[in-house]
Amino acid sequence: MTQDRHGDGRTSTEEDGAKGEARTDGGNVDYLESEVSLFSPSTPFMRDHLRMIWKGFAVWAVIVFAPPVLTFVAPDAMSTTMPVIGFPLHYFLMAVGGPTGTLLLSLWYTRRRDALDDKYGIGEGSTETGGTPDGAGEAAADGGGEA
Amino acid sequence: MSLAYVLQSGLLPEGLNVSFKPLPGVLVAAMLLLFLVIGYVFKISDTEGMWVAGRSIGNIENGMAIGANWMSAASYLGMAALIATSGIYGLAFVVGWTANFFLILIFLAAQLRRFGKYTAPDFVGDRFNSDTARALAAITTFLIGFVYSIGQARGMGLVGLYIFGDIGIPGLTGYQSMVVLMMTITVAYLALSGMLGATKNMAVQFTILIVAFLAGVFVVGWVNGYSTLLPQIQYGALINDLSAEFAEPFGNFDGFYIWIATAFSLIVGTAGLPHVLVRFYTVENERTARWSTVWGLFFICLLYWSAPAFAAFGTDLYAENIGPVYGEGGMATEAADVIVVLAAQLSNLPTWFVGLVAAGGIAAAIATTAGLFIAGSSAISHDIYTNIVNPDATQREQIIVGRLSVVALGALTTLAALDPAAPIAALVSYAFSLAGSVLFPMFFLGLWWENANRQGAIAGMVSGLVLWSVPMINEVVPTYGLLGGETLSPALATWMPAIGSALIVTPVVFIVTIAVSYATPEPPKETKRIVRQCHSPKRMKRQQTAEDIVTDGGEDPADD
Amino acid sequence: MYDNILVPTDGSETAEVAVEHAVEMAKRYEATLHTLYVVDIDAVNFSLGTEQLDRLKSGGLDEMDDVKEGAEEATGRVADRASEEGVDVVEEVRAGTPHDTIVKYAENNGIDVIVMGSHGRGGVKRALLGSVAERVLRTTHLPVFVVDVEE
Repeated sequence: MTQDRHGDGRTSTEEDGAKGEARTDGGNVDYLESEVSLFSPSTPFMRDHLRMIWKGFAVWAVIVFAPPVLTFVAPDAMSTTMPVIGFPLHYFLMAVGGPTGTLLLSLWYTRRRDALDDKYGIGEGSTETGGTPDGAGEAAADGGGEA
Repeated sequence: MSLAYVLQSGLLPEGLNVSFKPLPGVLVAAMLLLFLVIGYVFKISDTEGMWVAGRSIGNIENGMAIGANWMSAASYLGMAALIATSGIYGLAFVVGWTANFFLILIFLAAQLRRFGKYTAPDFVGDRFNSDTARALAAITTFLIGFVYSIGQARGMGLVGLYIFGDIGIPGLTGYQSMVVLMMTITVAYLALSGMLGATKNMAVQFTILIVAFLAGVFVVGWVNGYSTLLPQIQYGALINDLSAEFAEPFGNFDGFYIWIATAFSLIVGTAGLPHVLVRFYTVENERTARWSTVWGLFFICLLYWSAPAFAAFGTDLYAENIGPVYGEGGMATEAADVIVVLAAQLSNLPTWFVGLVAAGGIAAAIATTAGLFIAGSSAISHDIYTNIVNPDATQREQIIVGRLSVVALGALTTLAALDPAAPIAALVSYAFSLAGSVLFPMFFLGLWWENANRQGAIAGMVSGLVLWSVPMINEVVPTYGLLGGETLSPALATWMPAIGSALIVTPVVFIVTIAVSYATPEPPKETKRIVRQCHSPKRMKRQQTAEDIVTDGGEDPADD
Repeated sequence: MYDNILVPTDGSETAEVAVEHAVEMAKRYEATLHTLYVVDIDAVNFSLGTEQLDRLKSGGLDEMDDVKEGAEEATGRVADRASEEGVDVVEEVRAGTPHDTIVKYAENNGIDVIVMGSHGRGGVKRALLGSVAERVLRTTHLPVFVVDVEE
């Protein structure tokens, strides 16, 4: 799989527009030529991104499935009444912990993802600064009709 | 189950006072009128500057639309119902229907935005280069709309019964008459205006129903002395005073299993629901896609934090005023389905207030039904009719087919809802099982595995559809009096419950899709690059889709 | 007498029957021919989903390939026909309710006459479905030249 250098002009523009210490991937990663894989990321960006995803997913799985599992396995311990608010523990973990945990996790992920975007030199906003028609053309240039 | 008290109009307990209530009736009518007006105002706005980027929808507004999308009769009414009658099983819905959004957030939201098509069948058809796949997805979308709406119709029927009483259509019970009336209103509304899905309208809908719900929980809590400022936390102490069934832990493995199966099904189901996922196509960019998801989740939590509180209050009030909640002679599922309204009624709150809470429920049901029907109509009109049957269809023909589909869906749903087969939340869950079994695997694998190919997709979807039908035939069809009227195989119903069948079916579909994809030729290079483009961090021009960038706006992917 | 002639098109054969007349008129009167394609928002609503309307509203037509293609093809055909006869042509794409949008465009752009094709439908079908031409006729004060298409 060749890693071609494309769109250098465009990447410089992005670097210029990036905030602070923009550690980009050096401008020589052609994402269209790099295989997307959940388990073996092929670019630094994907590596970082997937690490975030798996971390978040693991925490999420615990938030969602640990309470019912624990409740099944240790019903007496789990139904102790909580001090002050009076909830049975298992009830609180599911009814309040579930939604709240997911919300906080989502907030965490989205902010981290924004930071990741900045790190790799992607600004926010809807309009492109560089010449995209060229970029799209270049990207398609080496695409053959391989079936 | 023997009933210790008289049921009015065949369904609701005396305590609910089924009769025509003018003030709530006016509230409901006013609400619908408001939606109509907003839809009209939105419609006549000119799009003269079409090539100029106009004001796009912000994160909060889109978040509210996501919230409105989500806030169906199942969330508003059905969840509290299950929490009240089924103990901690009900919490599977609270957890499942919030946790789902994180999955969407990390795996689908931004990637879908980059793929940038119109509908779920569009995505499937284009990603897998296949009209067959598109048709399968379109059929599934239509089915989802149908099944999901049966639950909404039931909600509309029950709450409508409370507000308008028995309107007495000859030959039908009070409930049935109400279902017919409500569905007719919804369909007429859609066929004429159809603007209920516009973001502004959704934001208004959401505001109405969240205000109604929150007002309900705060006031009921206050008036009965359960809570002051934060009923969402203060109901915890009340739990100890309720019957043990409300919060007792799993008694056996079956209880645990069905909790897990249901939660799983609801989670993956959400990630396969067409009308939820289309929200992500139309946002401005990926950042907006993510942030509006977060906002959406926050808005949803407002209701989900409160629903168990409402259920607790309702359970206590019911036990005090009407009868035992659990066991023989306990709360019927129909009564439970309106426990939110019942709680307000039993707190001796003024009729207009109870009406407000009820109106919120109807708003929720109608709004969701509208969204589902549009998704179903677009599946027929755009995906099956225009893309497959008649590629030269004029806009006019598309409209006609679309409207007819809406009417067809309405009729089918009404028929199916005449006989309340299961509680609202259960009915809706069947649709989630379907979405999770058939569409979620296609979205996930389509976006995350570039070697998922056409044959794999078709094999996957077909197996998903077939396997989903199994528990439906086993458990649900008999409730309509067919096939002997009883669940065909109780053993099967335990391990592959219709309400949570995705736990079994989704992994199977994944395996099938992956295996078949491996065994057959890889997809075209261009398709793979489209997938890669969906993950690339390189900024896309706002008005581009992944396909544009890869093909330079020229060719279409190969079709079969 | 006619400086600006409008011939709306929806890409259908009915619409294109009118194009011949419109081009001829424009040539004879040395007028500018305007052609307008209206993206019917009802069609977008029922066949693509209501969310797509938000997209249209925020100027996202560029993203909607098929819609854009259909529009440009339709106006393109008219433009080609006009160029063949040496007639000046203006192509325009708008979104909205067809008859309202046509009338609005006509009134805002100094159009002198609108040329449209119409099915000669009768009876119940006409009552139920009507036609854009009829609605334009009823909505505007401008002269409307209707070319009937026999099926």
